Amino acid sequence: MLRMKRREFLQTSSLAGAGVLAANQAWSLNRLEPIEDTLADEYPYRDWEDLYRREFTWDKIGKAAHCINCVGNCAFDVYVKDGIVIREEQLAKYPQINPNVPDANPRGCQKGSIHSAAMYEGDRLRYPMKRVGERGEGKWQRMEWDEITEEIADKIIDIFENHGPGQLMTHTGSGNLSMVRFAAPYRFASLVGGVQLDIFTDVGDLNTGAHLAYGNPLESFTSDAWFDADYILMSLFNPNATRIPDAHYLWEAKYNGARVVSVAPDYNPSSIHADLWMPIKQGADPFLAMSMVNVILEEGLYKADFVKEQTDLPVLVRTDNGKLLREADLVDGGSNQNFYHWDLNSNAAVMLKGSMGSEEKTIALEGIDPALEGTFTVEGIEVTTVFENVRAEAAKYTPEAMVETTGIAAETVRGEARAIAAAKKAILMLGFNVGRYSNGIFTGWSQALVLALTGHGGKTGGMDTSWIDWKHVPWLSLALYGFEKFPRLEPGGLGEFQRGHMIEHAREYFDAEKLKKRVGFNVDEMEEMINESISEGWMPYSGDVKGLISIADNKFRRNKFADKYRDRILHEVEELFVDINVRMDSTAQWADYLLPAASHYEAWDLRSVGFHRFINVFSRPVDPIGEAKPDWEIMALLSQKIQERAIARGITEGYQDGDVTRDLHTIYDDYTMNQTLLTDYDATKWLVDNSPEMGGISLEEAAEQGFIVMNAEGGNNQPIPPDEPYNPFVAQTVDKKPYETLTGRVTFYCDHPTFEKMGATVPTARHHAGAEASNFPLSFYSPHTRWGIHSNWRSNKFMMRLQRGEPNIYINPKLAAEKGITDGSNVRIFNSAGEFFAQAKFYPSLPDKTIMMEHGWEPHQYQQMKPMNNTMATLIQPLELAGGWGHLGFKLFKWNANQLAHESGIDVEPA
Amino acid sequence: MAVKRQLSMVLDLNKCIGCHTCTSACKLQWTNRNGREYMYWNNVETMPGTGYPKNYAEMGGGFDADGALRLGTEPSAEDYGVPWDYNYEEALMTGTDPWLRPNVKPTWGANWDEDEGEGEYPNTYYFYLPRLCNHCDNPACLAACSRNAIYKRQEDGIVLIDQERCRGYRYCVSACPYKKVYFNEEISKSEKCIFCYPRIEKGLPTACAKQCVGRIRWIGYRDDEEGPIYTLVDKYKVALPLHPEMGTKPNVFYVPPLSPPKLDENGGTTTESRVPLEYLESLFGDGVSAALDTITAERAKKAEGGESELMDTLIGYRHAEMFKLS
Repeated sequence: MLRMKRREFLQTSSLAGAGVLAANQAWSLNRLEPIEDTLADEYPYRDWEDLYRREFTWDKIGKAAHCINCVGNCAFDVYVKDGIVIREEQLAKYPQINPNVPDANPRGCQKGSIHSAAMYEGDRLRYPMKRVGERGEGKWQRMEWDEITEEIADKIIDIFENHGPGQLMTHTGSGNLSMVRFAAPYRFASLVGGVQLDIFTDVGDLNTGAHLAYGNPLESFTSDAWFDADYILMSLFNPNATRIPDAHYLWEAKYNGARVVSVAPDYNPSSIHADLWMPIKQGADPFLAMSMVNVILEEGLYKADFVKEQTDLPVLVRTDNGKLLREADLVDGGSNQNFYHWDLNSNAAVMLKGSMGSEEKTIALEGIDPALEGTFTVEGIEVTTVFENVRAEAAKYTPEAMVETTGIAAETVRGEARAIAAAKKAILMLGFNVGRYSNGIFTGWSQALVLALTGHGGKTGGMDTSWIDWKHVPWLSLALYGFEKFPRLEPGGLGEFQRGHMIEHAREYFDAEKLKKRVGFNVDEMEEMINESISEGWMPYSGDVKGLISIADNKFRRNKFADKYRDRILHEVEELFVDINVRMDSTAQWADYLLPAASHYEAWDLRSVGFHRFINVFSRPVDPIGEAKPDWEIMALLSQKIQERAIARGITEGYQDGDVTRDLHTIYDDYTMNQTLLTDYDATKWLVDNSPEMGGISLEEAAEQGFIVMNAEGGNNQPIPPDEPYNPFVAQTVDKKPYETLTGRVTFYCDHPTFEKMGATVPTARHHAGAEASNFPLSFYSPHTRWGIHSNWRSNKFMMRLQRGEPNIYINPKLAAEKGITDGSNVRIFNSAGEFFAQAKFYPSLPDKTIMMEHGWEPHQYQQMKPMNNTMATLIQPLELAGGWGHLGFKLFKWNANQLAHESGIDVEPA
Repeated sequence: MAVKRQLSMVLDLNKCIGCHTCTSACKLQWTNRNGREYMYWNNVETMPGTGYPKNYAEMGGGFDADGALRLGTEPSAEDYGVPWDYNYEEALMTGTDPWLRPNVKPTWGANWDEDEGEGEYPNTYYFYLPRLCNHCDNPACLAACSRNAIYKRQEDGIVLIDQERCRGYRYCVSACPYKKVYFNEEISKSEKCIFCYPRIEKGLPTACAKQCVGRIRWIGYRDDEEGPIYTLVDKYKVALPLHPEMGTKPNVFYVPPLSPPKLDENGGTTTESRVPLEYLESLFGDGVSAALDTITAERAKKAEGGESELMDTLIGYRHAEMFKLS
């Protein structure tokens, strides 16, 4: 390439002005005549221009999105030439739903825009393969589909025959979020009763504080609803890097007059456009929120009307035992889910409407004026209010007292608290990293308190939790076998922690005393609370399994104590490990059998998950590469072989499994609805034809358009308004529908025994474990990356060429100098849990006692295949295990324990 | 203006999120093949930074104050970054390499100093600057071409290198002060951003602009007084050329970035912007201060519930209307 230097010309010429260099005409060669002024005159020889025009041609255009766990969900045109996808381009044809709100075009990102290259990359799985060496050795033999699925079917039947049902894990990871690709393995899992972990908590994505407060962490804003906000504060959230298709609404809101504030330890790519960056100390978010609560209460900035109606703050609490006053306390046989206000009009305790025990499904006060403050006596029992309890707790958190902890100037906190209180529509945004901190539950809960006190809910703002759960009953019905049979659903973080025997490693890693001081419990106490939760039935856990079918999941990438976890799981699933995947990821590498799945452009599908109302259509622009098959067909073929082999082996009855039977001898007929849904197209069409929220459009029309605009039916909490952005909890704030919480109101009091034990009956602040709970000096900060979606596209060469080509950590140059580390050099990161190596990249915007590394690198990208997660020690937050208390109890995607990622300390040295 | 009509682009750096979707769009549209693999006709740089190719702004080119071509140097392969590849097959499919890694040790790339910027914590600063060919009124590449193989199309002002006439002398490569002309070693010709004329001719915006998810790019003709370019460049003067002192008269303009305030030693906010004005002026010239003042004032109008044509334009309510191609 360009190694030759040619300077002579410019060195020797004293060139005059723009344009003509008459002398150079002598250089003109061969068939071309001399040319005059190429600046001012029409250039005479333009036929050559067809050269580039020919490069902008194609045979056909199909439609697709990408069904990865980014929640972007963006419609693309897929350009096909000679049967190969040559490029893709955002469709950019979503209708504007309101003339005063910017349209959603052109949703997409750099990853989606190079997927056509990624799908043909060398790590793509093209053929069914069976391991011929040791697990992980990388020796594979191609097999025919018929042969390989029959072999697997027999092993599955063996597991049922030898161990009974419940010994097979059939876990679908977050890589399959489109409707058909999601439904296929879930439907199979429902039929066999396979273990399926919660995919929110297995990666630590669940905003449990939001569930605790609102009873629904998945009721949030469409991103266009950010536009009319006048105040936006982002915590643990870096949308410019991780919400790429939506980020524009933030900066358009700013031009529309909104104040935008970024709270982050590093001056991150979103902070750069904010009106203010608050450089918070890592993990101090609940302390900041509680100090805002302090300001709001002390300065009297709260909105009493909103608080009285929408929250449990006026609910009565006994002063003798700290329990909520319940009907059962006053009336024999009374409900323990009915509660009381003190009505200032009648000067008496009045049972509130809308709680879980109430017949009346409204939270309207209707003539009641509940007291927020005071102490009262109800039938001899002294009571006060939740508000009084909250105020007493918040009093500890003056901004001045918190400066040391948060790193934020007191006057700044006061200023922002006042701005939130004054805002017409304030949104507090929390990214998915909130779930990865042991104190994330406190961050979500205390921010919900800030919002509630200042009257922000529904159209006046609220919490953005980065996910909206739309209403798709037929989809869920397809995935969960008509709700007749279910997989063994399990809490994600807890399931991994237990099955991976992580408690042993946590006990070894954490300093018991330091840990207790930081998070309020030590490992032994945590173990006790885990066992309590499982034995009380608050959280289900199925125990060890014998076989694993892993679909679109990279469990050996995402789990903490990584290598130890992998060894444990491989030992456990000794009998069978099937990986169904589009590419050779760091989990597929260890499988016994590999079944190659179709990529986004190779199967019919629909996708709705996203921050908008559009269901994108995948029209199978090309057939799958090699012998890959759509997930729907893979599961159908596997079911067919199981049914054939079961019958051949004389199995003619189902295995009793609790209330249901696991019918291996009819599983193909059941999976395919008696052979009506055989292909990805059949399943897609069935969904379009049966889903009311899709409004009766035909699949052909939808595929032509590339998307379906969901109608009002798509809203779970309330209808989607046809011409307005979607704001959360409008049904509650406008129509007075109860929240799905114990009291029917936004909840700030929890008298569950675990919450009592942890001193957390009201929102408060706690530390995460971090470096302070370890014997290592540096904090470790692991956000999402702009360059991948978890491990997807992480090893793609086009993406890698725009990074450093290999895994890198980020380090403040000051810390680097202390450690003798230079930019671009190789470093070793270590603690007592493990080590890994990476390239050092300077990032002056990071605090100098912190190492940052974005998550998602494939373990096989690291030197010696030692991944970052080897140094990640993890815990379970016991509060997230609570159950048997109103809205607290195992709820898929809504309430269970996260796998935590920010609990360890590390050190770094030149390698 | 030497040509009949001139297409132009405005990029709003207050909306650029550094996602490189433009870069990826361009890459697959034009430069993932045929000897162009190392090129980024469109790229995004973190500023302050070395830029792409490395330290391009110090490589000369353009014109001096008298309008004479200035000496320029040609970037080396290393300055661009070598497009390394990976051992997918050996590391993942045959178990013959221990782990997945690049085939050459990466020491530089087109986005090597991403998010680095300048300053000391907590008062660091950076922003993103996407770059493409400026399709200049007075292109240095054109002036330097000894073959007269570079021309401006009269109908839209797009600057093209005639791929039949070019002999690969590369004077254009060194003459361009933005280093946006690339030498294709495979065919011994120079190539560059063509403003996606095959798309423009079909009424489509450039790939980088159409696919920009930050919605930071407007395209239109300079002479269209109803169009967005006129509004931003001429009417409100908030969009400015990069390095106007190079004398090439670019037709790509940038809305300079606002930035959050610096913090004092107690963590309190000051009234000083993080990105120093002098730095922005070194990139975009004298108009920066007025541009930032105008944006701030117009934004305040919106915050008070008033109207602002400028803010409405920068918001860009309808994506399709950000491009006015006729």
